[in-house]
Amino acid sequence: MLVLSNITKTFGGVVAVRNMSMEIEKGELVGLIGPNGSGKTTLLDVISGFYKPDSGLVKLDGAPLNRTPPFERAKHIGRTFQIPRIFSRMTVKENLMVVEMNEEKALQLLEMVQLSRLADEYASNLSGGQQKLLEFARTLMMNPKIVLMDEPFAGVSAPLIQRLSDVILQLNSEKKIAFLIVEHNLAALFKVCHRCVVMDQGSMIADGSPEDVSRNSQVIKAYMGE
Amino acid sequence: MIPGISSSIFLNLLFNGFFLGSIYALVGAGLTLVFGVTRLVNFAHSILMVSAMYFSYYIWSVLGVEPFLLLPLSFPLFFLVGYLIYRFLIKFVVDQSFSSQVLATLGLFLIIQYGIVMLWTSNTYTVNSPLRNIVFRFDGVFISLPHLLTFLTTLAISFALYYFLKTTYIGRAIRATAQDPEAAKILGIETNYIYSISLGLGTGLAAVAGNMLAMSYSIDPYIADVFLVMAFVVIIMGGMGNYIGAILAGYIIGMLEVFTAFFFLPLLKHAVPLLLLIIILIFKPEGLLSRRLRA
Repeated sequence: MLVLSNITKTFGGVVAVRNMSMEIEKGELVGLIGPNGSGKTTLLDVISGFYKPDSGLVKLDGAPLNRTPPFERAKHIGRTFQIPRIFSRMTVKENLMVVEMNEEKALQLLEMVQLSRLADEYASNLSGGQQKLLEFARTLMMNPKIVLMDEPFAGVSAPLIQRLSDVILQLNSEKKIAFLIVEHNLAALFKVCHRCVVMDQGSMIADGSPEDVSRNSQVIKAYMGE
Repeated sequence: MIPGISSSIFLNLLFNGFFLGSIYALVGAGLTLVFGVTRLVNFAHSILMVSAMYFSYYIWSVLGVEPFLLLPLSFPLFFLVGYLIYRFLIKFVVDQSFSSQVLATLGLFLIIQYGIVMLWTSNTYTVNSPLRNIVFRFDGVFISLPHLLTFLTTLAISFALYYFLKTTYIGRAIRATAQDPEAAKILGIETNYIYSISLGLGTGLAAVAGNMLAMSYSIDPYIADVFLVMAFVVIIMGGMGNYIGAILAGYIIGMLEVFTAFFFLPLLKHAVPLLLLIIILIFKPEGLLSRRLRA
């Protein structure tokens, strides 16, 4: 479904992503891990269209996306951010209805992430974890084929991590939505993902099941320390 | 009530303040809407208002149509003008430095201003329509029909636009883009389209102000200079990008001008609002209203 072919992205003389290739199939749940500065968020930005790669190709269902602007890609590719980018001066419900004027659908999604009782609250009044749930629910209003999530569990309480994980697994099994999740909380990530890709210094150093990756000596050396 | 003046004089001043405040509110609301969404400081805003005054004058002189009745035509027409200005000029500087934006919009201001001078010279024109001379009188209080219409139109348009921004899809998209354009993009919103709609709406509001002003003021190309300065006073006082704040500040400045001209010197009428602006910037630099009250 989503294919990255030889993606390279540099900023000045610094190579953020180097010759990165990977594929994500429909309904696949992929974790993307690596030390800070390894190029994970840059890769998400390339996929969602915020950065143009210096070279390489992004394809979705066989169609090249390199010339497709972010708002067009958003029809199929959802995105959440490390620090949730909610519209703080709108209510929770309004945040979802920015995407589509469908109140019923918005309330259903809020119910799914257990935020429906806060539907008319200003988004700025939500806790950090609740804001992440809101941003995630808002992304789902787009009916994406794949969701790119940047550190969804960072700074989130254990009950909210559980709730978010449950929703991800539910959507993945019921609607076959694919996920690419950047995360440092490996314990939480390994519970949800089918496969894990590891990056270091802009390049992929491992790709396999969570068990395989966690035993990979190169990964341990690069990511977890000796 | 103010000691030393009769209630009728006070009410006359108050109604004049409401009229002038309405004009400032319309001009300020348009300018702040554009800034709030695009972060563009549009120096051409007031000359677009003056263009609408000339448009009103031209139609009135040729067809005899009252400027007030032109509103249903001039708003969409100037909306289109604003939309096209974005597509053919602003689009190329909206992500550039502040100085590029100033050069582009100030350049546009001068092109339009001297275009007007070429077409109509620098002479002053007046729309001497029958409507202009209709005045209601109650116990020494005079309310001209153009002033009353200006006030009522401003109220109606302010509420309509607020409702539009709050409840429609485009309105929410405009607010979302104003708050976080990157987040708006990943939700499928084409920000360039939203920017052009915003510039269209802002220009449309300036045109409404121009239409209403043409019923009461004499028209010349240089009115734009004063309104440019006062429009910026309005939007800074109201909080840059704050729609409700701009309307409130518009009325405060309108009142202040009228009462200053009466109690002190007409020459000081623009100086006092500027002084108030300096005081507000010292004690409340974010403007009069809190962020929560932004549209």
